[in-house]
Amino acid sequence: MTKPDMDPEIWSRMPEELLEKILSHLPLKAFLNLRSTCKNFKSLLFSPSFISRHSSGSSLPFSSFLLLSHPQCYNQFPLYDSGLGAWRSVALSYSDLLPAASTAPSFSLLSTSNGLFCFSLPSSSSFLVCNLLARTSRIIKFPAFPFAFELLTLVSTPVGYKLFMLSTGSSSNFSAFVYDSNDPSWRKFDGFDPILSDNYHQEGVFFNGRLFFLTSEPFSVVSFDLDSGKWETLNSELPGDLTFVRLVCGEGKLYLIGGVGSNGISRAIKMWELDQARNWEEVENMPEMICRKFLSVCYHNYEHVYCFWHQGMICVCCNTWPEILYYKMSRRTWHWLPKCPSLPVKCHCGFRWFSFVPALYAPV
Amino acid sequence: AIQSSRFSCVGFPLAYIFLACKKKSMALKLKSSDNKIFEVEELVAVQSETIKSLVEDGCANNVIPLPNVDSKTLELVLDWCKNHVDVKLDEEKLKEYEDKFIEVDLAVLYDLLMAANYLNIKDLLNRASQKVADMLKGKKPEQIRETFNIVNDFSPEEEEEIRKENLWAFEE
Repeated sequence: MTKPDMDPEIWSRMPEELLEKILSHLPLKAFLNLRSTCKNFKSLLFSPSFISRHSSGSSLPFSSFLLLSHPQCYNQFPLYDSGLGAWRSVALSYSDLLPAASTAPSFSLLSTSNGLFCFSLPSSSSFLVCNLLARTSRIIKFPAFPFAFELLTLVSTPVGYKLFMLSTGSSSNFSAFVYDSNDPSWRKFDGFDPILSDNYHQEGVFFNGRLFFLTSEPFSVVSFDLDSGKWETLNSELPGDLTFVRLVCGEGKLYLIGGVGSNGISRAIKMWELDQARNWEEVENMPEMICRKFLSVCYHNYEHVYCFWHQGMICVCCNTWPEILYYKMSRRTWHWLPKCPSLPVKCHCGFRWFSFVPALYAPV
Repeated sequence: AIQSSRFSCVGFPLAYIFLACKKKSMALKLKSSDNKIFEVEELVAVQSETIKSLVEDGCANNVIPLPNVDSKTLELVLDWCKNHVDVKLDEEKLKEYEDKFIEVDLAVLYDLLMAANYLNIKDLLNRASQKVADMLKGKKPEQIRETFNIVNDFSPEEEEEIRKENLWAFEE
């Protein structure tokens, strides 16, 4: 159907504020395509009426992605559109990132949360938090110098975000550092003595206002309150004969994914859910064929395995393998995500995957 | 006792006058830009926030001039208002009415939009805005500039830069 032409004789008389009102009725994506009309249009996107109209939108205006960071994808982050189930032909390139990032000689993506990315910029002793879609960013100086950190986790909330990490600082004990974007400042809390994880690819898991972690063997679940800075051990008994275990949180539930076996050799991979009575209830047993492939992929070196939640999927990744194994919650089925076509046939280790759900109005 | 009886005596006609006034104000006279007079029920007319505030300020005793709305448009607008007074009208019927109502010539749509804006009739303004927005969908920036006579204040480089921004987000 062709749309009738709008006669400029008539429509050019329209007052500016009325045109702005009309534009706010456009779907966000349609409006973004018109941003280059004039400077005023471009600034409209962040006018209060646009934000209030679109930030509470029930439907997602954009696709959501699994983003791959790999040393051989130099200057690029390939994107897998999880809604369409296909790789995008346009990767996210470093020039899409911000000027602050492109001038830095080295930086690495550490954590994502909703539409926000957190990079480290070691050369300037700072972190960069940015919203790619809105093209806004904030540079956050390290709380100390020199600063070595691990388990960095970005947690975005409707009103801001928090950064969590553990650092040895100058002493030999671990401390927890939390940055609050609304404060905005660093707070230092006690660390947690038992080594949290033998796995530096796995972030903390945000659940009920707390970040959850697993300790090394003997496995236990500990959590950190982002407001009070208090640590707590979860008293639920973990399943027996675990060879490795990871945490995932999605849709308000906490899950465990782990191998079951002995002497470091897994026979099966299972999934448990923390139920109302705070017991780990088995909800899934990975089919044998898939389990066998996954175990051969990681050569029983479970320290390369990490998990995260993405839009109704639990992604199980191995740092040494180019495919993601994912579990679709709604259908209770396991799938392998096809390898990224822009990767060379033979590629090195270092597959870091992130969930990326663009959110225009996620504040930095 | 005398005082109280006097009060009741005076009270009766006062209340009567008040009622009469109230009854009289049920109909408002609106004058369009081409000097046509429309007599409408207050309940219908006060859907316009502009008219409502005039009534509340007591400025609606005589004819209310609406110099920005011509009679053709005012007739349509009042028809919309009449159909939105009766809250008992079920939603499906109302939607059917609205869909039909808004299927007008583009020049008429423009007049409706301007009238709804001037008279401040929220639901009509929203419906008309949505209709125009639907027509803008899929148009290119050049077409928008031409239609609304907007000057492109970007340099070609700047424009290209913006177009390239977030290309990854738009690919279908």
